[in-house]
Amino acid sequence: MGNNKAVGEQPLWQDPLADPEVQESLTVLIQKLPQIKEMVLSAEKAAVLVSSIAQDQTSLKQLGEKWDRLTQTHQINEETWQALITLLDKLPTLLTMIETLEKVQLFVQSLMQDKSSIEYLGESVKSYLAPVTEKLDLVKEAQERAKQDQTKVSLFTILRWMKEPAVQDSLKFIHALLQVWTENCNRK
Amino acid sequence: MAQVHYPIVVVGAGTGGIMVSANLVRAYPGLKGKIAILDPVSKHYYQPLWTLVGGGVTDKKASEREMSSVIPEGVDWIKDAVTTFDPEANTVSTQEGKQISYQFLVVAAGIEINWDGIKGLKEALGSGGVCSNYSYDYCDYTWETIRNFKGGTAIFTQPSTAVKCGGAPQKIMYLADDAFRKAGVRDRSKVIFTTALDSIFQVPVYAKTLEQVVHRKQISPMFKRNLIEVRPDQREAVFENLETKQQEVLAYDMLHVTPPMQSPAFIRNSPLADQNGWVDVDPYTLQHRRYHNIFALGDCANLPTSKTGAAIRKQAPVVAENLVSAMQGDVLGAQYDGYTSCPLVTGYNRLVMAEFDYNKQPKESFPIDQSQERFSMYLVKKDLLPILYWNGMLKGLM
Repeated sequence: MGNNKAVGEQPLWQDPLADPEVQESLTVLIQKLPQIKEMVLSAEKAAVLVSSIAQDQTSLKQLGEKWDRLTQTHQINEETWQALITLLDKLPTLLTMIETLEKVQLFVQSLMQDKSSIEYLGESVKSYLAPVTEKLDLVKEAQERAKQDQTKVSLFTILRWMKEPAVQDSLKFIHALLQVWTENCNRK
Repeated sequence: MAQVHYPIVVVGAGTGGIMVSANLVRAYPGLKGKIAILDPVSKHYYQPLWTLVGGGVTDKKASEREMSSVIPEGVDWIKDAVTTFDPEANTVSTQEGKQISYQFLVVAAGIEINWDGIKGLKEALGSGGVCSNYSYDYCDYTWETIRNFKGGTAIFTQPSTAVKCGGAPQKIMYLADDAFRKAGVRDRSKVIFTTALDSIFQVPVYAKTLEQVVHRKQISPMFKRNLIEVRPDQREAVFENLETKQQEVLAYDMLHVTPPMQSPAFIRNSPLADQNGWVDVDPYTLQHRRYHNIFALGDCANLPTSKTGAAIRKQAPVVAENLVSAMQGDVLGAQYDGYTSCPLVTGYNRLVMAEFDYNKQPKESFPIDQSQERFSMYLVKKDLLPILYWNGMLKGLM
């Protein structure tokens, strides 16, 4: 009843070794035997070590005392553990920050060694300062000339200067500036 | 045929190739000695500076460095050119007869300038007022032309093909306009901008500002015009009107040409290319659509964004991260959003810092309205970006 297999045909459960899946597993297991052996030996060594440490009361006592001293001098308490956990929680953010800082540091380091870039920057700064330095040069030259000039300035000399376009422009500017200034004061 | 193997092979030592390599060895020091970068040229150029060279602001030597000085430590430079790709066999062949096999390939071979794409251009370039900022050899001739311009018609062109830095064709025009005014020749000059496109810029918010600039500077824009021939003897430029298909001839005294560009031949004729010749990659992961151990970035990739160094700055870390994920059998997690930037110089000391993504939406870095012309942004372009390029980008730090 319930077994309709033909005569001579064995159900698979009667010969597990005939199951291809079992055969494949066995092959893999045999291939992995050297690794399994290593693992078992390592586990055995670890177990012996743990057992030995557990029996070594002197070492355990010393370790305990050391821990006590450490906690006394460093005030390791619940707050410390909480901080450690918080710190662990912040590690991804800290890592990003550290990476950014590292990039900045490497960039500055690279720039400091890059003579061409420093030269390029120097030239740029010079070009921006050129209008100012040109004016300073003019002032310097005027000072030099004024020092060397021994002639006396008379009223007629000043009247002659008045005809100079630069003097006229400056006077007109001063006149206009005074007008604007007065108007502004009157409005207030 | 000499055979060499590297776990990672990078084709091209331009901005993309160097940046990906630098990102890889910096983030994963274990990859040192396992990356080869292939490029036959011995110089590396910071090309964005060429606009300022053409405008007489900077010496072109500041844009050039020895290639050996920018190859990241721990990466082997093979000074050779790739001729063919065999992605089925995971190999590339080189001009010097090497066959290099790889596990992962990064293609960052840039873009090819097709000087022959305009009849008569090659012969005319570098004399008679015909100049171009798109070549290290000729960008200083642009300034010579602007400096010696005594009035007349100055034409600035933009072709119908994709170009590197889509804003560059008009940047030099704005600088030239300023220079003409300073020299007192602008009132006897006509400045014309001919472009194959139908607007001044592809992002509306920046286009609005540029339209005002064009109006203020009294520049005449001519849209849907493509330069097809230069006649240096007659000083004439021939354009095709892309709407009417008629030819139009304009006389010039100065002609700044942005040449047509295309994917490099060894890419467009390879199995890696899409129907337009660019490396066929997923626009977000930058992984090849058919060969999953291949990645591409920069000008040679078929990404629907403006081809700029700023775009590569955002693409390189994505390629580096996704390549390592692919090596480890993980899902590709990094995504590129199409970010690109175009520092639009609108004059000496003025610049519109355009930054946008695949959707042409502004994606700005500074807490100010970048659609306005600003001196601060000019300083960023002229003084800050070159420093950041050599010491930050090429070192894999940004």
